[in-house]
Amino acid sequence: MKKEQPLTCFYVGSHIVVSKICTSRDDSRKLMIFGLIVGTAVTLLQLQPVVVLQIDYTEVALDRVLAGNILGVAKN
Amino acid sequence: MSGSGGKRLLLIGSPNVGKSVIFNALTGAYAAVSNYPGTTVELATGTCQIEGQNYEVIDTPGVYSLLPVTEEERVTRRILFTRKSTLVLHVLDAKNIRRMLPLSFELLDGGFPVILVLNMMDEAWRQGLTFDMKKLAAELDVPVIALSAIKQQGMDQLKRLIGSYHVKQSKLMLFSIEAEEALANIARILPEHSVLSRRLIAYLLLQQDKEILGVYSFSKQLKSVWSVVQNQREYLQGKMGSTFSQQLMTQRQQHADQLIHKVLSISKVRHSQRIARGLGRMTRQPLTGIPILCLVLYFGLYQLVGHFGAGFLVDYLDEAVFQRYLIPLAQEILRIVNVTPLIQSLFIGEYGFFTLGVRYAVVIVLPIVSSFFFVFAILEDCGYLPRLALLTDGLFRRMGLNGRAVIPMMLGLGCGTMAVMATRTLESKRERLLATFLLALTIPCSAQLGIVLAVLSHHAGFLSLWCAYLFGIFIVSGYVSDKVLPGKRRPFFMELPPFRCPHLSNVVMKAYTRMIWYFSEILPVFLLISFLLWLSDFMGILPRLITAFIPIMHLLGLPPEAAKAFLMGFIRRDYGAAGMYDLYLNGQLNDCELFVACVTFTLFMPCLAQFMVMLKERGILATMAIVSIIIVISFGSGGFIHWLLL
Repeated sequence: MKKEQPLTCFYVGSHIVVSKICTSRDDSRKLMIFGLIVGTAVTLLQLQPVVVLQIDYTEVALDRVLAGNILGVAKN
Repeated sequence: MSGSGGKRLLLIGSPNVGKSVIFNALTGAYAAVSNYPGTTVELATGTCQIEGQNYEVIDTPGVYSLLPVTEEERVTRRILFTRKSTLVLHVLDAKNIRRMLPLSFELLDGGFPVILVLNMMDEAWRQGLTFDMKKLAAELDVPVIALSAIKQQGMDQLKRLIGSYHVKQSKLMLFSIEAEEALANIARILPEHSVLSRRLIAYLLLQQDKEILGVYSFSKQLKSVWSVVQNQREYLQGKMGSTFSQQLMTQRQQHADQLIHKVLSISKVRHSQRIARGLGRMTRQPLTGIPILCLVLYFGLYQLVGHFGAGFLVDYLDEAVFQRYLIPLAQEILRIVNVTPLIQSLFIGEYGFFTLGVRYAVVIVLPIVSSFFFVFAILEDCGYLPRLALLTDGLFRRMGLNGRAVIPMMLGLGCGTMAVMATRTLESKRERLLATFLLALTIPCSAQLGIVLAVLSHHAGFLSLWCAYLFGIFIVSGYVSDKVLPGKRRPFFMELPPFRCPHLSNVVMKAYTRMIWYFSEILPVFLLISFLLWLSDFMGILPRLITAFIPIMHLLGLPPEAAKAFLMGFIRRDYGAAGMYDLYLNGQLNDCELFVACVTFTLFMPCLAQFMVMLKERGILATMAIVSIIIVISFGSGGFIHWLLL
């Protein structure tokens, strides 16, 4: 079974499937507007100073704390 | 419908999808267009005629959903919910349709007459995306159109579609059975609303959006509503668990995913735009992004605004045009008209309309501000600003803000008044207050910045000290304000638009529009100040006022003549800055005095226009508190530096 871990623990370039979002209701709503829900496939583009994800055809920059509360598993 | 009895068209959509481009194409007016989210913070209104019918067209700030997060989203929601529209054009970025469709579902839930506009089709095509438009229209039961607004492709078809639109019931996206049940139970007890469907109001209430009850003008019937909402929330919690409200949004997204699966086919990328993507990557990564930022500041601000704008352009206009041709021409005209010496001094005297008001506005301030607006327009258009926000998040984090604050701060380097309005893109009241304070205290407007760069450029040490002192005050005042103000910082999140080559026409148009706005704002004020100075000089009040200011100048170690520039600065910072430039040109300030004057003046009170916008946006109490702190810090700093240099 693949290991579930925060997005901030993956390597840059990893293809990840979001498995759990452990944020407040308001923050979940913000993530949702970028299409970031459980099951979404993302690519990790950058980790510092903030996390940058590729979701479909959009690049989204997220606070590291916020990204740390999003769990994912590596995609095949 | 609209005030004129015509029809009303509302442009709605996520930020940075091209609403303003469509607005401009429809109306022939100009609303600012940029390559970053949050350009439109206020409504823009225009008119157009389609198939003989008049339409009022309204461009709105971007919204991601009808549950607003930022102030600008509230502005859009307010207009959508309170003014009945003939048509709502929901503009989507075609390549990001997946995450934008949930807003379409919300609009259809609300019972709005919607046309779906898939914009940026050229970019979607380059990414290898092909849409089955007929199928999409049939699935949603709304008209759908493909567009590439920036290339003016599809605009005629859009107009035809608007002209032939007939209101009909669209298909609704249904939630799970238990959620539908709860929605129906709430909707049943709600009064009818003239604009919104009860279903959407019920949905927003389930999401704990209490503000939505404000759409009703009466409150008697509504007292019982909230208890029913609570009952239904408890019911859903029992059925779906405590995360039911997220689950409802997830259901919408899943519905969008299913729909896209039916209408979208993806082939190989047709055009990779490798250079733009590479530049986009380099500007967002710290290792390459920080040196690029230094280059942008050096060439954009120091060379273009400081040297070219405040140095070359100002000198050229002043010496080669104004002093050589225009002043003698004005003198000649007044000689021919044969006016009295008093009237002559009103026009070309020391405080004359022409020699002071027009000269300061046209010759000193405008070239500097214009060069800044030109640089800023390039940065906006290529998509650099969101990447700058990302890079500076760590810095703003220490001041209770996040990287988003860099956009109003950068705009503040052009004009503080515009920047205070742009703080609306920040999420919380606390962030908006913090940003307004920092803008008023530490961010010089381009007129000030250009003049400071010009007068201190011959002394690299003082210029570096000025930068360091201001940066220090920026950090310390931000840090202390964060500790003093109750509340917490909001986490940073931002969409990064694709890096694009700036469109020259767009850059010129945007810089020109801002320049015109700025000029029409400053010229009457500058003329008025000249007149007041002339009048008070004539009545003998000005010398007394200057005398009253001399002890403060003495405290700062400045000559009595500097009092006039500070007096002017109370009314407009840029006017005062221009006055300071004159003192420098006349050799009335030595290097140390110049440095003290530059620091004090940069930290000094915001200009009258910025002050008025602060009153409007932040209220009288906050504004007065900010102004008091600023006066103490600016004169305190001036006195402190003078004491150090003694």
